[in-house]
Amino acid sequence: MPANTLTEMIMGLGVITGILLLYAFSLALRYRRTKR
Amino acid sequence: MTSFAQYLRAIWCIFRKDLQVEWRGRQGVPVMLVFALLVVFLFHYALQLSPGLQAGLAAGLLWISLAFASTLGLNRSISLERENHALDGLLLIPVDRSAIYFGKSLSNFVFTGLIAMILLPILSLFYQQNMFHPALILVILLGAGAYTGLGTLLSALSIQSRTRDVLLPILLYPLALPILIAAVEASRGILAGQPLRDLQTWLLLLLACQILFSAAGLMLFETTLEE
Amino acid sequence: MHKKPPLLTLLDVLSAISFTAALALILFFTPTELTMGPVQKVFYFHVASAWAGMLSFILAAAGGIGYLATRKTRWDWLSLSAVEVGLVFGLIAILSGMIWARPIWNTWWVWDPRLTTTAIMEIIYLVYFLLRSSLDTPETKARLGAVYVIVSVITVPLTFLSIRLFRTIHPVVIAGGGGSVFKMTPRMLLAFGISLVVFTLILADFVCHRFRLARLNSQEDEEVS
Repeated sequence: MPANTLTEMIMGLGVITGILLLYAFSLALRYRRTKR
Repeated sequence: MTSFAQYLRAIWCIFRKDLQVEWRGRQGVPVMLVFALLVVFLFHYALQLSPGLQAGLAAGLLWISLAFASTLGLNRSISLERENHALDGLLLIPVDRSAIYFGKSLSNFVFTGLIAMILLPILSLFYQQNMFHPALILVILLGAGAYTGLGTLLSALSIQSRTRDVLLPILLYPLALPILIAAVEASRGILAGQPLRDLQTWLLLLLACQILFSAAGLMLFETTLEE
Repeated sequence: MHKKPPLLTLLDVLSAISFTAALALILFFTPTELTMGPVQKVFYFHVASAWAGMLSFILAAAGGIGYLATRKTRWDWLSLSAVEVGLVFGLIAILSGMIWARPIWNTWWVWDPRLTTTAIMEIIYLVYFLLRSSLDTPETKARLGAVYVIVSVITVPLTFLSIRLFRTIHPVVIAGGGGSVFKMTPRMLLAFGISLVVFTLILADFVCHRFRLARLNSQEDEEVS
């Protein structure tokens, strides 16, 4: 019977996706700010 | 004189100069030694050490105090060049600048080795262990060589920054980790009575570090000191 | 002012789509592992991220070598971008590694050689930025940054090796733990391979964007001075 680690999976995949999106967003933001 | 002979001569001169400066001033090595001892005392109380120390702790203690003391020496060695614009003088020598690297690595190596030789009897005394194994001396030579080889290159980096002294430790320690791990593990094995054959891998790792970092120094030192 | 090349827009779209596809694949296509349960699925992106971080490191070193060889600033932009992006992927790898470790070994941190080496790599990345910020001219930043990154790339395999060897001698007994070794079925292998490709795409995409930002920053500095 596999362990019930669904919450951990969502947390893990969420963190990964979240950081990727955050970084992409930060790049866009910094680019726009420098263009002013 | 062939240019290679000139090169070797330059290394020797720089090495000798560093030793002479130290001999006349005698400020570097004593400070390094005192610092190493202080680290031993700090760790003694922080980790609640006692005589009859396990081989692992003794090895770790040796190398941590040695690493800290050596870093002090590395900083001082390169700082001395910066004072009085001695570095500019060195840079005028018509020889490949990696000679400066090898000369200074050698002097740094000697100072660190000296500290190690003084630490051995002291640690033996403190922890009632005989730390005088010929094999251990070999490990110290290899470890100190690799460490000062890497450290001399990085000290040339840190001296050019605004944060100077503070920067060398954070540049050096993460990169020196394989050296420290290998040195501690080999030392631990020797103190625990293992034959050298079992510790071959660690010794080879130390040798690899020495060769690789010296090669890096050879190729990159000149670039590091460009004006 | 450099207009965004259409190829880059294509890469953006490709990265986004392939990431979403891979995510869907992992969630619905791959089987649930027997003992670990769903959290094992984090593994695909965790390893892919660590892989991207490693790749980034090598890219940064290539930038360093390129700069020292040519003294053209664009190589420095490459180094800088690769280190920053590598920092991000390293962070993802460490955090996802910790989340994956928690339910399996009942601890947030394991002194696993790969995880530890990644953590050290992160610190080395951070030190790169500390080094640059402590230097005054763009030339020094580029030159000394290049030296540092080249020396760093030498140490990473040595570090991994030494930690690996250390672990074989000092195996850590973990309370309540099983092994992390699991057999990968063909479906898992497929998802694994696809994850690697996807993260490599994202790596390229991020580095390109960061590169453009670096170039823009450099131009702004020139205009000001």
